[in-house]
Parts: sequence; structure tokens; C-alpha cells
Amino acid sequence: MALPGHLKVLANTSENLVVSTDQIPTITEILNRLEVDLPQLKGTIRDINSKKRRPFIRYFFEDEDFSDFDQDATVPDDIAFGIKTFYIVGSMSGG
Amino acid sequence: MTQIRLLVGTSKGAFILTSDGTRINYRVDGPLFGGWEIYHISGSAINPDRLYASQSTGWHGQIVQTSRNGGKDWEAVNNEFKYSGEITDHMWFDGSPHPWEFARVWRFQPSPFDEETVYAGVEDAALFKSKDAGNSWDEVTGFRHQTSSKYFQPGAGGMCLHTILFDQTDKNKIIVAISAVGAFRSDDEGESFKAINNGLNSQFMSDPDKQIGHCVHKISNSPLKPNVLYMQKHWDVMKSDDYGDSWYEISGNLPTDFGFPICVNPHNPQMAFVVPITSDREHYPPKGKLRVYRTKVGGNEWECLDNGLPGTSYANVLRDSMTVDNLDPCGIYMGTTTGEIFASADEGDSWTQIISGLPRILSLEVQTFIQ
Repeated sequence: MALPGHLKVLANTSENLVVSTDQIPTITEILNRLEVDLPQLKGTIRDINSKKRRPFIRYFFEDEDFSDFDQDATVPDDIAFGIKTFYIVGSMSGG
Repeated sequence: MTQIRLLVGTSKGAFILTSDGTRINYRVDGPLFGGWEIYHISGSAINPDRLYASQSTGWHGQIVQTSRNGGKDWEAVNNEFKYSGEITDHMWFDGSPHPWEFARVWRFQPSPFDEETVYAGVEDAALFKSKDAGNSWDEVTGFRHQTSSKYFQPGAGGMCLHTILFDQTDKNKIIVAISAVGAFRSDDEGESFKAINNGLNSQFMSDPDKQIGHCVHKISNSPLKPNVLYMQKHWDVMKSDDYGDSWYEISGNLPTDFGFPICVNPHNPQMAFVVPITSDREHYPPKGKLRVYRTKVGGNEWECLDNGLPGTSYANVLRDSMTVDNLDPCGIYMGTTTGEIFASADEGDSWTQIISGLPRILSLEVQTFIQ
């Protein structure tokens, strides 16, 4: 899993992360597990109360936009097994 | 040994500046939280090494950081600010109903009575309290649940609760202020609040007696006379001698009475400082000359302080970007939207630029250590 720059600062890492789970790998489960491992990320990717993706955040599986993918559906095997990277991206905005 | 510590919040991180009692040379540490907006950093009066920082971005929302060692190490703590009870509506810009939504923390105000207790003033306007140094937050329901909150309406700067004042002699008193809404006081430690806007006159309001809708930019006082409040309103500099029960204008000979920050000398409640800004249309100082104005007589008579300030500057000073230390004579510190900090060690008589080139300065607090 790859985090955007702001969140790498917050997570105190410059590397991609490996998130492990023994549950069905869905976006919800992956992000829940990420927030257990790194609680300082709570609320920074999803709204802290509704758990909805924040407005300026997008999810990419390698180069494919999965932002509107069902959050509770099983992610593709390439993502589940870490062959491809799950990118959390801060969308470009501003001028 | 006397020490001064400046806590600087900017649009791209935090900086900590330290100096000895001479207040001449400063060591600069930072940026901390690089790339993040730091709306406010503050320290506990009981344990000054206990700091709180409001960290946010539009992408990732609100983070709360706390330090136990004066900013050397930081820990992200609870960032869940959940409005209590059913989510009701306030008024939107066009007057239509709009649900309360948390945007960010504008101010952390540690309690002067308990090291672990800290208050947060947030946008949309609400007051939160933590009794465990930020590990959990509860809304102070006595404030927002008052009936008038449905008439709260944001201004251009957002509906932010930016001022939280305590009375160190009376634990029950809490004064808060909200941009485009007004000022409020609790006399029972936050159980209930009442509007304290009598005497405020806002030109754009149709009903001069209306309590809600006054754009208060900042309120300050001196701990020596906590009942004497100074207010920089959108337009008008105002004063109250009775904890805000009534206000009267003290703009006097100011070149313009629009501005954002206001500070009071902690040792002299008659001495206050403002930074006049041309207007709400031109957010820069009159004639491009950034000046501090000081009254020594409690208002109306203001003197221009320009010794050491730049010949030309179109910078603004935001509401939380001017502060005073506790030394005598008191030092004054002013951070600009163009990233300079100016300091005076003699109650404003002379000024020195102590740093430039910082990002836009959003807030500035000073801690005074006297040993």
C-alpha cells in the first residue's frame, strides 16, 4: 500500500506499507487494519464518523481508479496478495 | 534564567523559536509537520512543556498533536470531534438551513486549572473539552445547544470559534467568541452560555438590538482585570468593563477600526494593542504601512508604533498572530501573512524583525519562562 506524502509524514515512513489481515480483503477491511496499525491515520483517508472516502482522496489499484469500487467487495487477487500496489492518492486540486 | 518560546503555526508547518530574556537572538526549530496547515499551537500554563497543535489539510482533515517535552517529540491523539445529540441546522450563507459539520480546530486553550484539561474551539462553531490531554473529546453542550445557535451563520472566514478566555480567579467563567456570530459567556463552568453582545453595532444588521450576527474577530484581556475585555470587531474596537455584559466603542483616533488581532498588556489592563487594516475589502494596512497602534489609557487615544517596522508592507496580521509575553516591560510579537515575525521588547516602542521567509503565519503564541 502506498500513502500520499502528507500521510507518510504523519505515519513517519517513506516506504510503502504491507497490511496483513486474515479477513476477506475488502477496501474497508484493509483500511480498518491500516488504522489499527497506524491509529494516527484515523480520519485522514475516510471520514472519521461516516467512514466514507474523504472528498479529495482517490483509491488506485496500480493505475486503475477504484475510488468508486464497492468498499465491501473483495479486492482483486493482485492487490490482495500484494502483487500490485493499492495507492491512496491525494487528488490534485488548486491552481 | 528567563526564556521566551514562540509557537508559530503556518500554512506549511510549525516552527518553534526560543530566546533568552533579552529577546534579541532566536533559535529556530522546524518546520514540524511539514506541508500541513498548523492553525494553532498552545501550551499549558500549568506545565508549559505540554503543547497542543492543530494540524490539518483539506485532503486529510484534522489531526491533533500533543507534546510532553516542549515540542521535541509529538504524539497524534484523538481527532474525533463528534457533535453531541441530534445533528441540527444552523443558517447557511444564503439563509437556508445547513447541518453542523466539523471542519477544523481553530484554537486549543489549555485549562489554567488542570494540566490534563484542554478546550478546543472548532469550525462549525462549537466548544469541545478533553479531560485527558486530548485522548478523548466531548462537546461542551451548554454552548451550542442554546436556542440561538440555529441562527448562527458563517462569514467569509468560516464559522469558527476562535476565542476562549478563562478567569484565573473564577473557574466558572468562560468567554468564547465566534466569527460572524458574536461573543458568549458561561458563569457556570460551561454548563450554560449566554450571548454578551449588548452595545455592539454592526452596520450590515437590520436590527441593531439583535444579539446574533456580530463579526467578532478577537477578544483579549489582562489576568489582572479579567472583567475588562477588549474586542477587535470586523469594524470597531470595543471594550467592556463587566465581562461583556455591555460594550462601548474605543476606536477613537485609529486610522481605521477594521482589523483582526487585539492584545492587552498583562501587567497593565489600560494598555492594549491593535493592527489597523484598511478595510474588509482591502486586507492590507493603510497606505501599505504595517503599524501597531497602542493605547495607554484604555482606548480612544491611540499612538502609532512604527519604530523598526517596515517602510512598505502589504502584509496582514491574522486574528491569532499577535501575542504578548509576561515579562515587564511586556514583549509583543506579530506574525504576518507574508511570513515575517516582528518583536518588541519594550511594549511596542521599538520593533525588530526576528525572522522572515516563513510560510503564511496563521497563529503565534508566546510562552514565558521566568526562573
